[in-house]
Amino acid sequence: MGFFSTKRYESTVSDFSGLGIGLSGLQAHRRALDVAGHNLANVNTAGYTRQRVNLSAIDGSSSSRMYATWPGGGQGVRASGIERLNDRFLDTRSMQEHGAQAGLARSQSALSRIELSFDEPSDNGISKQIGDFLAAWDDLANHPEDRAARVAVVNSGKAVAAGIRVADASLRSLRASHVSEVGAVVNDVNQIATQIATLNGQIQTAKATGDDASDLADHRDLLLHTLAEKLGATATSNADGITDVFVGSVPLVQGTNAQRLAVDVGSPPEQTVSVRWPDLGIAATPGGDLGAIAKVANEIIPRYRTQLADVANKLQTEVNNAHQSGFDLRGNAGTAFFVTGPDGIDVASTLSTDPSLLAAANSSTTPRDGSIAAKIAGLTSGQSTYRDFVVGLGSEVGLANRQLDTQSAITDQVDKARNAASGVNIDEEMTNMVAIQHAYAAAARFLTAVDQSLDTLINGTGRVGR
Amino acid sequence: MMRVTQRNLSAGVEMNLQASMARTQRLQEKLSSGRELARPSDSPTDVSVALEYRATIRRSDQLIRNADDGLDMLSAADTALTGTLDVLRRARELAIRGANATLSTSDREAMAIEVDRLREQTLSFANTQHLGRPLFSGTAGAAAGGDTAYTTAGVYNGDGGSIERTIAPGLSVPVNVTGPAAFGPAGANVFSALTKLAADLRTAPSQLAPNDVAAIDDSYTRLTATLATVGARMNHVESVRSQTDTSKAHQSEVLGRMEGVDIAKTVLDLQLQQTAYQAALASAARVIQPSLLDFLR
Repeated sequence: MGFFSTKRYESTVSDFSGLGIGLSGLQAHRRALDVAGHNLANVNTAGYTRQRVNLSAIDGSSSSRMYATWPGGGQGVRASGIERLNDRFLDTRSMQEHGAQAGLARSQSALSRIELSFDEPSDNGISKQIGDFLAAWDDLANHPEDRAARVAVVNSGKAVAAGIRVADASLRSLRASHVSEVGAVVNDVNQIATQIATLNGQIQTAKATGDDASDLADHRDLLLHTLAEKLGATATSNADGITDVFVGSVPLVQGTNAQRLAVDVGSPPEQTVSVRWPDLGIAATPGGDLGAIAKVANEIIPRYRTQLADVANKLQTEVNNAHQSGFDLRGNAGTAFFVTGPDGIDVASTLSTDPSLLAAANSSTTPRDGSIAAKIAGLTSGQSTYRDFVVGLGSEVGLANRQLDTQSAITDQVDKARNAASGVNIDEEMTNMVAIQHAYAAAARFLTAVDQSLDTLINGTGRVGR
Repeated sequence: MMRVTQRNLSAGVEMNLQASMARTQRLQEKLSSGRELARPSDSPTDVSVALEYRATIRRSDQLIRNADDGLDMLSAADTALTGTLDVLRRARELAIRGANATLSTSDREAMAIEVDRLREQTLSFANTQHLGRPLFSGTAGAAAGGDTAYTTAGVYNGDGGSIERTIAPGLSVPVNVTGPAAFGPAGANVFSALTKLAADLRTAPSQLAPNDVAAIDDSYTRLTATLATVGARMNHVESVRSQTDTSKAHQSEVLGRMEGVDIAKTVLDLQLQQTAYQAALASAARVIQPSLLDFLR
């Protein structure tokens, strides 16, 4: 075989293998330093998940050979992969809680806006206007023939009617803005779903070719969180790096395919807004923000409009009933005081043009009697229906506030735990950097040692006795 | 052990500062508006009571206005009727003096002229206007000959309608006196008594002593009784009005306590809140800054 033979052929180890080992140490730790730097650079990046280099020792030959055996000793180190240090369980929890919170926040903000449009208790609200209206009837009862008192009744009646109409109009416009918002959110969702499908493809390819897909996965996680907030989507990860997204039990993204969502707005006057899967032909049941917007538009605002209409109706009925039992200054029987127009109630135009037609007297022959006006002044059910309305609204807003507070605390807790698992800690990265730096320096020193021994071997051998 | 990351620290600091600022804002809102209850959701039950009290206070204001208006009418009636009583007292004197047989015809004529004037005076009392409408004509509209309760012939234009004022929830009291109740029924009223007195002074002095004096006494008695009723009603309205006033004051106080801000307490809360905010800022400045970076070289 060779000039030197021993009983046992030692190894096939090259004299230069030490250089290779040293190089592997330098390379692996450069990689680790890069990752630490990447982590530090992203210490404030939203949705960034910290990464870690997995180092593994390079074996020598592990299979025995017929004429050669491995004396032991490895071939250095290698960066075998980069790991994202996320917690799948916490990611899922976080998506759920963010979805729930987005929905509650949306309902809460809509309810507070409804509450603000009623401005109670104050000196400007509908309650005050009803009080002034009833008081004006008392003044009329005291002076049935006084034209000023009659005009005051008509004007305060108009103020009540206008107050109710304005409140209803603000509910209508709030509803319209929610209906259009459904379309905007669905557009966003469709775009994000397409992006996720694309990312799925890229991540799958990267994994197959052994590339690092951590940052792509981070980007996808951010989008998944947005979807969770927008419509309460859930996600399941598959082994090949693909994440499927579901809304309820219907897949929004499956592999590299994204389903589309579409919005239907019903015909006036209800204009019920609904979301469906056009390709599947079934209705969608989104949660999160979108679900809450649809609920606000389809249930909450219509419910308050009905209740407000009920207040108007009670007031109209009781005032009209009393007014129609009376007689005006000329002895004619009273007509309806409030009439219902296209936008809501108002004072009948015949009465506002001629206030002498207000029926304050209880008989056609007693124009100086004001007992019917006094009776109207003592009516209470309009006022009490409105009070119930305001208190009901206040309770619902209060409940929504408390629910949102609780949910925020839960979401915050989960976010903290998630961030604790996957966030960057500067101290930790600095410590890693110190360790990596030392390892790098040691590998370099090792290279020097190998170099020196080779130098001795090459330049010093065969010069014995010189 | 839970890892602590820089983002958690800064997010926590940010959230605490936000919460602290939100509390400060809420307190400032309370102080600047002076109101504890700004929206129904602040406390639905308190708002329910507050709205109820607001409505009740508004109603009480109106009931007090009603009572004042009623008192006005009653005192106008009181003045007119008291004036009429004075007139009748004088008429009665004249009737008794006229019955004296020693008087001459011209003396009686002079007295008759005075009685005529007294009748006119009574008529003007009976036609007293209150805020442009006759006080004693009930609920009837303006008469054909003019807006008066009695014609110059002493015929009643009005009706027996009662004018009422609501002075408490569910409590209406009449605040007018109708002509017949004060001045007597048609045919036997104070005007016909005075007409007859003047006529008797001129032509039949013998009728004066028993008959005319008795007729005037009748009217006098009726008037005093009516005046007593008016006085009783005034007392009634007055006492209900002062009850309403008292309960309104009480309700306003409760409403003020419920809706209004306890300034001293809120200012103190604000002070504490600001201290807490500064402490949070200071601790944030200490917590966020240092890392291992500061100690490695």
